[in-house]
Amino acid sequence: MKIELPQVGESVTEGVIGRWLKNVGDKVEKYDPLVEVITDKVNMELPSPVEGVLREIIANEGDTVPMGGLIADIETKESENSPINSDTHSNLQEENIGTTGVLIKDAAPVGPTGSGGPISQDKPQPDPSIKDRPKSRYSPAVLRLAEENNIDLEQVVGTGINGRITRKDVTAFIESKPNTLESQTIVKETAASTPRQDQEKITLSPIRRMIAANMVKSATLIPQAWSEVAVDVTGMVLRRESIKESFMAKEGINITYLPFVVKAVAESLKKNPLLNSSWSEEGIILKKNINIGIAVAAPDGLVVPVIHNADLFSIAGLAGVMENLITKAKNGKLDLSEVQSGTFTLNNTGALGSVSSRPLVNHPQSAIMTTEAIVKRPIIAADAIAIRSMMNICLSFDHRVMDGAEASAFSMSVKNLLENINSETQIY
Amino acid sequence: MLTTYHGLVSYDIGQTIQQETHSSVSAGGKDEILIFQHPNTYTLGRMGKPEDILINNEDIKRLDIEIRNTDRGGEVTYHGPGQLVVYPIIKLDRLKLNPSEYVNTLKTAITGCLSDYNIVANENDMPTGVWVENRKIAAIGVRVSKKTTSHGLALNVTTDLSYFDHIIPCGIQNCVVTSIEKETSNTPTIEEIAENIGGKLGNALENPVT
Repeated sequence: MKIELPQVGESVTEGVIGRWLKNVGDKVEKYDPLVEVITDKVNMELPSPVEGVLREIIANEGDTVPMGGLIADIETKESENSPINSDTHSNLQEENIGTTGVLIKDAAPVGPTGSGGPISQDKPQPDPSIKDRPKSRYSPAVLRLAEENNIDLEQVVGTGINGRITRKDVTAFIESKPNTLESQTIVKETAASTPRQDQEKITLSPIRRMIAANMVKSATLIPQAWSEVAVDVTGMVLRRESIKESFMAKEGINITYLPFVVKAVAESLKKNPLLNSSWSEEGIILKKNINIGIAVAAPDGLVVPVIHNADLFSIAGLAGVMENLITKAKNGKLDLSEVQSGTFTLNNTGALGSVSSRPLVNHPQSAIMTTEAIVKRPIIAADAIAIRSMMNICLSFDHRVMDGAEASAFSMSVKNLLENINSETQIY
Repeated sequence: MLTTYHGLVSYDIGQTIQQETHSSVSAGGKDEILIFQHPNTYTLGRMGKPEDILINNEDIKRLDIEIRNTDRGGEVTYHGPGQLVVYPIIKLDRLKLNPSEYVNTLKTAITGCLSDYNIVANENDMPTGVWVENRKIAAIGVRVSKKTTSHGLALNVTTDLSYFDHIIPCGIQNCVVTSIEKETSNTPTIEEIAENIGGKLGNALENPVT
């Protein structure tokens, strides 16, 4: 069923699509919030008029849509959209992946498939207890309260709509904890086998579960290929050294290599839009905004705060934005909006000493890049040996969206931009 | 209508209170109006662009300003002491108002409050917000979720307007801002305005439009 933008006011003729609150393939209940629509000064959640599965997002985030314009397609039980048996082989493969993708959400995790190709013969069995649990969507207030008090939200009974967990529920759980915890522990023990002396179990936090779910999606839904390029960053190292002190004195923060890299990546994404996209059965979705996520090791696990519109910032501007985001990430103080809408991810694995890695694409993006450790190496330049600072950059990409040629064009663009950094390179 | 003035409260705490109230109102609880003052905070709505904040991190720290992204409509604005931030949490279905009509109701209430102090709001076709001639005195940014409103309006009473110098308010270049204090010789207390605007909004939002 095609969903249109409904009239939201007599004088309002169009709206801008804000955040999509459901992804393609998600089950949608009637009245579930589907998408944010922004009209003058109002950000409104549009509820879904029907129950079904979101088959296609027609209007993307940031698109301006006239009232009555098409925004999405939801497959309801009555509608007969794409047939299960389709003519071409590739379509059939996509149907399999799509169907199993929905199952995976409700099922126990599948082991890594290594090649990341189409799902293997063993279809995962859905875990019935997880499927029956109402779709947990924790509000920021609930998440914060839970984290401050070390509460596993999976254990809290929700009294809100559809069993959602409210702040009062968490407070009540905290207050009753001494007694409740005991009985819950007892229940857990009898359910599981006798605890073993040679093992210890770490309870899964909501964040760990989320990371695990994302990694499984990435490893099983995206066929990933990988390439590595060596970059001579001697110029970048020198430029940074030359401004380090004055930047700290003027701005009060450290300037690292990351802002230089993000700038090069943003420029390269502008010229190679396939790397800033998302695969969908109906077509490759090129994202208009360049929102670069930076992987950060936070206390509870990996978080990826996003620099929205990274291409609009100077190197100095990026340093400021990143300092703010990374500090908040490490202190667990990121807002929900600061981790959403990423279109590309950057991971500075070099900070951990790595010289080569194969990152997992951050689903549903199409590519991820790492910057490896900067190491002084002897290289051949003009038939003589020179000592240069070398940094590998590793790119993993969705091989459905692009081939080696496009991926390499992007890597080479980043390489060229970084190798051309010199004393004249603008910081502001 | 239950209207609560919480006084000076951090933006984060204000948001927590607002979210809880929104959860209970959208679940069927009675509509409410929340009123706060916040310490220095720049907030970005869904259309907000980071480059509309013009100062660097050093100055942000020195001036003790918090920066927050929010899920309301609109762009960047400033909240601070001397400014009343009003969040009516209202079920639009009950009032049979669409979001545009709701925004107009907010404008009308503010205009009514200002006229009590002989300040005349500009009735012409201005960008959303409330203007005195070409000076902006109140900003509006609303979110509707589960057919229930959140966020709302910010009215400058005795606000230190210099903080607006460092942003492009609501994405409008060369926007001149003003306050009740600047537009009248007999400045009321902020508590008085809280009661006035709370009352006007309460009346306007109590009964469905026929």
